[in-house]
Amino acid sequence: MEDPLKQSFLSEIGQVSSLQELLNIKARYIGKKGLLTEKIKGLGNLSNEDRKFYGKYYNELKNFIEEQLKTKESELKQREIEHSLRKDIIDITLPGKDYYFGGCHPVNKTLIEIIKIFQELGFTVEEGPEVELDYYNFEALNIPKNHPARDMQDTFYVSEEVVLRTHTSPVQVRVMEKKKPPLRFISPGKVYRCDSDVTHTPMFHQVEGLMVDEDVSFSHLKGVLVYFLERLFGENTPVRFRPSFFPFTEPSTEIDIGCIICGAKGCRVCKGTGWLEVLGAGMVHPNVFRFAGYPEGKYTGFAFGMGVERLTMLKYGIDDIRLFFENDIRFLRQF
Amino acid sequence: MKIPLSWLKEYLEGTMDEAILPEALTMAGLEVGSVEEIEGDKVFDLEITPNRADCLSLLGIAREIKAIFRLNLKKPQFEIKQALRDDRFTISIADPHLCYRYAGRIIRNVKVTSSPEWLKLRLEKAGIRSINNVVDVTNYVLLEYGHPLHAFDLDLLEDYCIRVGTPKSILGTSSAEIETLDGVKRVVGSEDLLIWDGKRPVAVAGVMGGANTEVTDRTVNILLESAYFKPESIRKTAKRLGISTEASYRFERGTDIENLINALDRAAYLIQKLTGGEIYETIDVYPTKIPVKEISFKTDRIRKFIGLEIDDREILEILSELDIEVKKKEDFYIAKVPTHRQDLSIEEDIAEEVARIYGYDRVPAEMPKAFKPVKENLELSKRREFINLIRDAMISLGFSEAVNMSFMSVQDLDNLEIPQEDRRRKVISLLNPLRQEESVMRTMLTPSIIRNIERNTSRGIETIKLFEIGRVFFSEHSEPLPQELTHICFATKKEDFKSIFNEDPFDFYSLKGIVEGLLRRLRLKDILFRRSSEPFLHTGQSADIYINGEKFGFIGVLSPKVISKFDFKTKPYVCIAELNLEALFRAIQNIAAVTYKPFSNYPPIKRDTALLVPIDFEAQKIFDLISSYGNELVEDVYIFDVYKGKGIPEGKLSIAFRITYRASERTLTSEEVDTLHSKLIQNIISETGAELRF
Repeated sequence: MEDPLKQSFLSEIGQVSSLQELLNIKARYIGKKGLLTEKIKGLGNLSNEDRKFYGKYYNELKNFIEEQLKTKESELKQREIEHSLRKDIIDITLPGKDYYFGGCHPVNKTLIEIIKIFQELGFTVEEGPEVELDYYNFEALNIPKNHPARDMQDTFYVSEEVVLRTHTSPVQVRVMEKKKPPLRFISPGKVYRCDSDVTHTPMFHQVEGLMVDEDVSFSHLKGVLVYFLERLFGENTPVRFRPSFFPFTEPSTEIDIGCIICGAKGCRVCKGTGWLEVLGAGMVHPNVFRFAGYPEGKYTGFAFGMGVERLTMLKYGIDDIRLFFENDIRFLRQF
Repeated sequence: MKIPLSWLKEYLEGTMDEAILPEALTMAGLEVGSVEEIEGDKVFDLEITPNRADCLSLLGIAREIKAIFRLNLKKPQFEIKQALRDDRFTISIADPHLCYRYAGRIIRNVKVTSSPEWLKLRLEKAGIRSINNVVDVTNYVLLEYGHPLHAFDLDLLEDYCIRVGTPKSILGTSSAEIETLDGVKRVVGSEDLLIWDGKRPVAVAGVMGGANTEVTDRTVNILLESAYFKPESIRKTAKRLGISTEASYRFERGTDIENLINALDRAAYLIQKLTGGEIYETIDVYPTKIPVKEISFKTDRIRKFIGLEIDDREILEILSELDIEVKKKEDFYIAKVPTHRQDLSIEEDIAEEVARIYGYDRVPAEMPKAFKPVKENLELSKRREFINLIRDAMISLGFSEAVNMSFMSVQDLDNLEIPQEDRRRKVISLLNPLRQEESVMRTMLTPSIIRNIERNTSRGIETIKLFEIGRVFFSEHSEPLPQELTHICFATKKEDFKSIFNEDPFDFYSLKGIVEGLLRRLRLKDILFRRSSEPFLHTGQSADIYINGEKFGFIGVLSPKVISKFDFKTKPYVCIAELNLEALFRAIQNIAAVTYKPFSNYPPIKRDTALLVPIDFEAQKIFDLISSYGNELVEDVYIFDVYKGKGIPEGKLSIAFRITYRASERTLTSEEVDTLHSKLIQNIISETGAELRF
């Protein structure tokens, strides 16, 4: 037959639902004046034999009760945490706090990509002023005043002697004035032409490059630029070199890639030719070396230039150059 | 230049594949822009580069095709049977340095009528309007030979003579007036070359004829002119007068001085054929014969320069196809440049001709084998890295990157009420702007960014975060070139913004936090925000930003005054900042390299305090006082509450802050921190008149 004390304890603890109730039970049974405590205190009045027997029994009962209380306590605590977790549920489908990444301007994105490719080839980067002397923009590049080649670039004038640079080529001259070959650098930046219509904006971005050393050949020009175009537009991009004219290079060439819009079949963008003009280049004209003060006939080199807006339009299928300068946030966020 | 194929073929002998002709021309440097079908004929629109004046004619193009396809050239065949003599008419050149040669032929008893259909059609296909048979023939020969001609009504020329010279040398005046064929009265300068009769100017040399001697249906006798003018001179005059004609276009690129007699004879022959009349002998004034140009070249150098294995025989063959005569001299060659190829003057030009006709596409594309290392521009690399870091940070902070034109207008500065004496008024002005709104170079990026916000807003975009990095330009008094500085401008815009989290990422403090975050990222210290005096910002919500005592930017809420000057339909709230990155870059150069500093592992003790201060109190004071107290145990101070309203007296504000104390080599006791803290607070109270709030 079970001990009534133990029985009543078990029945009470079975109904406990809070930590406070549990503390109450603990006090009632094993507190200072608890039922069991009293019994243990009363052991002294018992006979030796009984004392030994009940002493052992009550001790075991006390251990049992303490064990039970502990188990119950951790059970209750667990339940409490679970309860609060259920209570603190949030809607995880609500959007997070305002934290968008912004968009990089697509022209700068392309510019950075171009710079990276040339840096891999060991080209460094040079810069120069955007408001430039006529001398550096034209004359030192073999374009004297009153030369018809000036018609190729509609120029913004600040004064007779000062222009907004029409290309980043003046950087070539400024660098060559200071450094001796070997030279291998690109000059990225903004350039200006007095021209505005559907396909032209008065400001746009260019990357120009220069490589000068002893024995640089036209064949090297082709090698470097084919590598560059394949890196930018993918391997096996068709590339062709056409003769052209720039006053600061001789021979000069314009470089086309197979139209990436129509797969060189002929479309509106390539005007039905299947080709897209993407680069101008050529072997540096000896007069330019002369202006830079290099010894006659010692060096050869090639120079090239490209419009970054055009490359970006081709790369991302952008059909209107003016989008670049409207800065509509819905446009910028796409890049 | 428009070239009808049927006409072009008259000058060629031999067979060629017409289907590949446009591509072949393009690949030889004469780009075929488009091919048009006109009345069963193909018309090529060729884009001739400025160096190839010789290709501004049918014969010139035919000569190129001959070289590409190795055909024969068929020059026009004609003969002037009989020429009469007239010793009375005189031609004189007053400025032989501007007019190297002037030739003329008189033709008497012509019948000026409209041209026959074949002639009209040919001109029309080439894009030239038919006028009358005489003028049409001069244009026909212009297209055929590339040499511009002009016909005068002989009977309208006074004193039976032609004089060539500037107003300065003919009249000794600094200008002259002439009505040109287009009916415009034009004033030319002292250096502009004119054609005169005995009394007055009758043509602007090489540009346009005069109305006073125009050939009309009443004309009976004519003088045909064929001359060579100095290209630079013609270009200057045409630019100055703002006109470009078929004639000036060719003269300024350089015509063939030795060919002008052929063109004159051809025109005289055709005029006689079409209108009847008697041709007179040529009067040719050619004071100094231009010598033939010679270029010496080495085939070895050409091979190396192009990077092409091509033998001498093939090089010489190509040059011969191009009518370039070559003589061998010891170990080099001498090329005699044909008079129509004035663009050729150096060995590289010869190399180009060889590569061009051989085919650029057949030159191997070779990567240089080994690069010698090139020293980078370290200063510039650091600068670019710095700017890229800021760009990336801004993008990560949620801002999209704008790029605007580098232009603005003075009106933009007026809109922002920039004072007249402000440095930003020192603008660089363009002499030939496209639009008034883009007539000066930017001295600040802010106007462009406001316009971007305006445009986005008008398109229904409610919240915007935008930035731009670009150069601004300040005119420098004694320097020809302006100072160019790189700035960053960034702005946020909101209207009626609500957030489920009751946060506002578009207010002043958000933008300020971004500025502070950026500067912390750059490890810049000693930054100061002072109430701004920028007239375009909200006076109560704006600051000028200083580093090491130098102002390098501003931040603030755009003033409603400025907003009202733009086209906003709603009431936007715009926070904007513009910083001079140059100043930051300079400041970074002075930061010592990072060296690790050990930190304390002993426990901190924190004390919170709330002070009652006047409502216009600036919290900066608290930071300043604590740091000026200079106790090394103070690890951190931060303000966690600013409150006014219920429970706070009128005109007062409660600022609550927490100070963290920590020692580097021991555990602090509560008691010593209490003592220190109360001293610090007492100091603040006595310096500011604040009260403790309990």
